Amino acid sequence: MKVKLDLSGELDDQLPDSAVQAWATPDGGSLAQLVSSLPFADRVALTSVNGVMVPPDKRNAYILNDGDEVMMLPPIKGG
Amino acid sequence: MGWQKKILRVDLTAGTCVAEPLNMDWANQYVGARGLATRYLMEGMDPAADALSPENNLIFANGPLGGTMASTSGRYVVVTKGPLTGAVACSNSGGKFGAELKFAGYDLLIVTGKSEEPVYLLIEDDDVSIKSAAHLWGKTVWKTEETLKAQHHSEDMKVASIGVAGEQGVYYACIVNDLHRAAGRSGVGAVMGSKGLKAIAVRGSRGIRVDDPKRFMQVVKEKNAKLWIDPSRKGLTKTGTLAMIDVMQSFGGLPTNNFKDVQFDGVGKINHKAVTTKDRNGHQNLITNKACFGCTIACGRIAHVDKDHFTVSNRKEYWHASGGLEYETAFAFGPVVGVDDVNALTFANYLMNEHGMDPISFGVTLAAAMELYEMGVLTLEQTDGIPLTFGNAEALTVMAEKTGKFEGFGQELALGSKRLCEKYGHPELAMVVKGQEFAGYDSRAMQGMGLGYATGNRGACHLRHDTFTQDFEDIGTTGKAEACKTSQDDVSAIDSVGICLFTASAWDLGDLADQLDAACEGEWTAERLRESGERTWNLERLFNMKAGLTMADDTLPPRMLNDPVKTGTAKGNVNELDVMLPEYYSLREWSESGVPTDAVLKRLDLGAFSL
Amino acid sequence: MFKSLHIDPDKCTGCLQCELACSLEHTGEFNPARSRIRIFEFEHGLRNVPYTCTQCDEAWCMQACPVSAIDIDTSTGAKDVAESVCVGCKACVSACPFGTINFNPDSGKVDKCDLCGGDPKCAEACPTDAIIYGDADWSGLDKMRRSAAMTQIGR
Repeated sequence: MKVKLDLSGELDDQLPDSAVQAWATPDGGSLAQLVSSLPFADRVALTSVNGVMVPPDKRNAYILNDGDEVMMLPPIKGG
Repeated sequence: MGWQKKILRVDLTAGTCVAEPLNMDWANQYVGARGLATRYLMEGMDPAADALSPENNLIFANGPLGGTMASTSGRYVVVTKGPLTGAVACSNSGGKFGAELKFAGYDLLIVTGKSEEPVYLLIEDDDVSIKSAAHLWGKTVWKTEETLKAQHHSEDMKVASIGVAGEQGVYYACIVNDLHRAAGRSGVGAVMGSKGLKAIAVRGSRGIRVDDPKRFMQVVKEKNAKLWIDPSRKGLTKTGTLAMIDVMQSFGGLPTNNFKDVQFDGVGKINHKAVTTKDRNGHQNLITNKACFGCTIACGRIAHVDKDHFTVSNRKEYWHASGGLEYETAFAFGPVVGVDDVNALTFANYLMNEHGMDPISFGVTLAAAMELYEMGVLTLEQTDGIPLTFGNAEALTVMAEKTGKFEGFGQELALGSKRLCEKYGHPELAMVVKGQEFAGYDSRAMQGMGLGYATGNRGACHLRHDTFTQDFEDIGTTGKAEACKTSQDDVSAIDSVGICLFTASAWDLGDLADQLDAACEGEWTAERLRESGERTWNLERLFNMKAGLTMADDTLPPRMLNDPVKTGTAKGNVNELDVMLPEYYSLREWSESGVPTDAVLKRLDLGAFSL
Repeated sequence: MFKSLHIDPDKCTGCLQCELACSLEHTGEFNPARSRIRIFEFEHGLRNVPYTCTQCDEAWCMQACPVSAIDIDTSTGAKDVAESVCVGCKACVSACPFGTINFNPDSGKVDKCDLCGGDPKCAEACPTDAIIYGDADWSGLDKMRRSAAMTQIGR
């Protein structure tokens, strides 16, 4: 299946546009699997799926669906 | 060493400037900057005195690492009693001014009294003089800085000054240095104005020594390398703090339309992607990034307004580049007032810097006025014919300028949310704690943030604690009291070392202690710093209680406590302050009514200040 | 290999780490006022330009010195001021067209960049590679490459 990635902050140029629009991930795979498949997995701090935040400890249990929009952000603090 | 071990006292009533040795006992207990200045403030004034009276002290302070090669060593603080809050104010700024004050030979500058005529302070190492500011009064921050540099034939001079907002006592006037860095919050600029002090101009050539230069440089190199590879640092360099806006949107904690909502439809027009993309006129908002003194992060933004935009098309004087949007400014001119015009946001930011006002308090005050307007409480006649509707970009920029110049309805907005909403009979619409406006995080979606706001010693503030990680990972209240208390102490310590909070993702207190240990006499450890942070926090609390604040001030507006949040991750939640606050007091070893117990005061060597 | 300082203002953030490193090396203190490399800020911080001595070959400062206090360090090409010989007359300050040799009121002599004897601390301190110490033969090569990249011919 394919998901759409939304890479924010310093991650926004880590992948070519075509890859971001349709990133292949195994059917029935979890969000955790998706994150760990990325070349910058260690810099992903926050994730949301279809606009809802998914905390790190829930990523294993979160099963993705085809067409999901997954946003990823590096560690960040406000100011 | 590290410290210059000298402070400067300026009494504007008597017209005297006297240097004296730094109290090293206090320096050892409170480190520097925030903590040390609070100790001097406690000594120098009655906390119950009116913030805008001559009795108030206005203290500029840097830390023992200030002006060294420790990264971000240019931070300085302004500590005083805040007119917006009636509580202790501690506003933190970057740029180059703070370090220059230290290079002139001073760890602290304490300004007391009041000058009958407008004055500025000229500091050139040991030569300090109080000079007439008759030619500067009424000028903007930008014009003041330009005039002083030209007058003294010194482009190298560093200037901190106030605009008309500070002169006229706008409750959230700030002190601006280096054109667009500001000691922003709590109205410290109004205190400066109340003293008749327009500006401080500094040139310094006194070097700063460290105890063991060789070891210091080894440690600094190691720590800078650690900071350099930190992902959070990389993000700050690249996007500044603005990337936060996407996080808060997707999380559902981005305060919109005076905190009625937590998600904003126009976010895609003002986020970091918007400022780094050419618009249809070929204009790109963001130009480059810029560092403060000694900073290897360089999160500062340099941007410009589109020349064809309605705000500046006829005003060539604003066609230059200047400080650009960060998260808090984007929130305060964007979602909270419903505006999604990135050029209007940027221009409003220019006006804040030019006139010397806190963007957060201005934006949230305007948001309250907009809600009053939409309710029909304020009319077009009262608002100078400008419809104060959410989303009106013209209202944002016109009102920003009117407030900065203290004209028309700007004189009402100058009151801040609390006083404005009280005046018009709706105190519940003021999104404040202790009179200070919220930052860009909704406390119903972020419980720890709400507790931090409620217990913040300078009123609502997002920079007095750090529970971001806990709040993003868990929308409940579990563990938030402890995370809030611990991080408040840590942040107090970081602010007292005189280092930027944005190092905190890479450096813990141990990393700061290592640098202090190589620079300063005595032994410095993380434990010592944490204890000093806790001491500072309690001293600030004691100042506030002596000023008349009580546990009743540790609260949030009814909207946060009663109205469930409508969308987002925390949909349906309110802030459960009543659950967290007793636990917080207990962790602090304070009484059930929030008074520090004798036991904790004794442990922190604060017994002398017992209430 | 003969080396020189390559300065790229486009990369400079204006953090002043170079000024701090320079002053520590030469005075034992952190003191930007005594740094021999200076960052100049223009247009509200839009442009930050590091500037120091370019070690020109037929150095005006060296030629102007009436007591021959300025000599060439043959290992680095740096024009060095011998403090024990310098009389502080400032003739070199007047002669230098770039303003990169300056009077130091603390010592009564003049100061200029000496390339730290071949290990310039400014370059070491710069976090963004706006200042690098590299092969003098290639001092313009990066700029040439950038200009070349802007041309539309050749594809």
